[in-house]
Amino acid sequence: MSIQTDDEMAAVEVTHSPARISSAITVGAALVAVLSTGIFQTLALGIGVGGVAGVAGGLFGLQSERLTVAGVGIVFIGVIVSGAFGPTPPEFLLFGTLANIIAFDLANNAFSVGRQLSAETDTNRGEVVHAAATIAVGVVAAGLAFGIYLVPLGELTVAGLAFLLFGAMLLVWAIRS
Amino acid sequence: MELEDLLNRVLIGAGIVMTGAAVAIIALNVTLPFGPEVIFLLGGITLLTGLGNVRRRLNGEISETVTPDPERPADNPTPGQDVDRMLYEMRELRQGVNENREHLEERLERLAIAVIRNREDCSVERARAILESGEWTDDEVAASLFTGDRTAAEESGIAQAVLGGTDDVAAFENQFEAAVEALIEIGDVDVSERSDDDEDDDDGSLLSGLGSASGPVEANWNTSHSSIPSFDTDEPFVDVDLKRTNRWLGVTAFGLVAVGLGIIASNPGLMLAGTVGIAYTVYARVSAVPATNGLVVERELDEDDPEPGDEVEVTVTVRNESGSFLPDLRMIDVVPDAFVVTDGVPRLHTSLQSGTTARFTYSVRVERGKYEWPLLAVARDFSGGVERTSLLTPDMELSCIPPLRITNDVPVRAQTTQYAGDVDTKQGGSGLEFHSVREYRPGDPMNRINWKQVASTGELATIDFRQEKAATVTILFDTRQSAYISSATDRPHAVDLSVHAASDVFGALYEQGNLVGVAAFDTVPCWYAPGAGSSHLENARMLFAEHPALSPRPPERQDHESQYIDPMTHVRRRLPSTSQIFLFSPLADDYPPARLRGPPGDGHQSGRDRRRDDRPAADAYRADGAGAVPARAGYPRSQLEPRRPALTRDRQSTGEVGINEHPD
Repeated sequence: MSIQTDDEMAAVEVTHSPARISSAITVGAALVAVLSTGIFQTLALGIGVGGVAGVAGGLFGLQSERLTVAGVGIVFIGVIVSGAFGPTPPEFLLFGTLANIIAFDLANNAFSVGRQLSAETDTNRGEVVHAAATIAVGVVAAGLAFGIYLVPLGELTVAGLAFLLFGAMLLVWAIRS
Repeated sequence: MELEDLLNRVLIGAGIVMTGAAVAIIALNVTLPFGPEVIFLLGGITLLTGLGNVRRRLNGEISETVTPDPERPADNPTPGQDVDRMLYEMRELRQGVNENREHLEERLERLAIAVIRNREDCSVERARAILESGEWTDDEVAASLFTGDRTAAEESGIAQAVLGGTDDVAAFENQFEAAVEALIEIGDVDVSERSDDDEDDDDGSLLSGLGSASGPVEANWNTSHSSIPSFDTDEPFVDVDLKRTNRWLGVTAFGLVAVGLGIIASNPGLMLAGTVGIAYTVYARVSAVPATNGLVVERELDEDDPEPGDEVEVTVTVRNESGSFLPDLRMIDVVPDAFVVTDGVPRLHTSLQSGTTARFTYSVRVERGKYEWPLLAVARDFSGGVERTSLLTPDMELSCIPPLRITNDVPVRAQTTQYAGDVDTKQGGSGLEFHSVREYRPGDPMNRINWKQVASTGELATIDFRQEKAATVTILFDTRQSAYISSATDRPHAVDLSVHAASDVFGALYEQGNLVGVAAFDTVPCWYAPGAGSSHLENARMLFAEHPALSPRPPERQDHESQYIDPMTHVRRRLPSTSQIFLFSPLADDYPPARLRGPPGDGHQSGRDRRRDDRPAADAYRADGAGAVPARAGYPRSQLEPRRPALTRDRQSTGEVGINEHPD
């Protein structure tokens, strides 16, 4: 009994690195976002690849949430550039943005799980359920938006859409808490 | 609050107006009463708001529960850490340069005087004279710390303090280190445990010792390394916190930036893309409070009655009886600070449907005491926007009581009581070992008459044997805050080692028929009068296990109230005059020796147990003042090897002798 300090009785390791499943999906989603929009615009592809590098480096290399979020932001700049300057079809832009936001959420979750629990913890079920919920919400929302986009509702002008989205945004903000 | 309310109303109003306008434009094909500038402006506002959102995200306002790392050992200080800290403060932070310097000089001077007295066998005054003359060492740098130059330096100290020169601090550190080296040399201090690391990059080890990553083993205090104020709870369920995590902060930017740019560039693709961002903003706002109060936690141990140091396998079962789905449940079993998780992980991240069960298993090295500990549950809703933190304490108590094993004979001194026992005294009487022959006195038993003498001289004589009597021994613990030190972060601290060793010593002394008592100098009075009998033994076991003064938790982390009195006062008041003392102390400061010498003539004899493991001169700085004292004070001391069952006693190279051979 008593005070043995063999390896056997020493404290286990605790590593607070980002959760693995969420990290992997994050990098995958960021890559999807880049590929789905970057193929139409070379500059966007370049920016996006840089962003993915930041995301991967932030998650697996430096373990910096700041770098990862910045990487996600750069990927988004790539999506925007592709939409603004390229011949990217709206559905690809929609898909790219969806993947981008999924990457944003799961990156945050990966770090949060890593901080609160540890790399040694069994986090599979919790991570998968969270990722599934986020993806499901996004897919439903994007599907709905795309459906509305396809249905010819009278004369769908830019002005009309602008007012609609702006109005919706104000309402969303109003229900903050 | 009112302003926010007003703003909300304005937002809702504007939103309705905008949506109405949009419907009118799209469905009724109304021509706009204004030009494209307004649309453009709308896009600009959206874009700018989006960028503002990005900025807020980058400034980081995410709040989540900071969880502890109960797996890790407690963060007990190691000897000399405060010296390291003071030097660090002086050098890196430039704080309290003069105060720290004075303190360090004073401390080192005490040590130096003790070492010189030990070597020269002289008075304090003489030692001080030697020290100040600088004769004690060949190292000029070391000598200069104590010579008259110092006063000259102190005279100009004010000027130096104002200038705050880095050179000054560096020079002092140089002197300090040189002096420590010199003292180690002349004092013949054993620093063999000093690791190579310390020598290779001194600065690195000093810094790392202070940062969050303290050496190879990281330490943890459950409460101070987490955002939960306390883990001590009697309630089965405690709601600690319910908050918004703000983790979706910034997601609106995806919508705003895309929509804004889409409006400005008249690009329907970007506007469409922006809708996903808005959808997630809504998702983030829809929240439900997770019903963690419906969780039922059970904890099982594979051993009912573990001994200190045993490994116990713990299985935690969590059942969701709330009737609702808990999508994101992060659980940590907050193992008490004194425990160390040796295998497995006391954490789980899962989601629990109503009626389902999750389970996790880990092994833990237990320490003496009675424990109940909570499971920390951090539950989030689907989006993770709301986080509820609760403590769930299952109805389970682990009580870990040290056995009083007899592993070895423990010699005691010849100060005894009137009771029969095992200690050979100098008094003659009935017994086994020959003592002396004396004149016959009427009433002497027949069997002790020396018949040989009667035969040769015709005079009656009586043989005396050495009387064997019991001793009264008080086991005295030094459990003040300063005694909670360990040789390395992952090693047990001195109080743990003391109690482990004392429970062996107690058993051995008791078995030899001595009356054994327990006391501690601490702010919590701990006194158990010497006695005998099986209930005495059992009570002592419980006392070792549960008395707050002997707790594995340092006093400042315990929640009991205590008023400060001189810790020795209550011990001294109760100590029987014939009692011998076994002191268990890491000798981290001058207090125990000074106290024990105490007022002269109080008649106590002390056998002093010193645990080598607790006072490793692991670093040059750590060769501190108290180390030189026991040798001078003339008390026997012994070192108990921390690894049992080989409870051995080895003599020190410094020429001390074992307890029973020491002249009284």
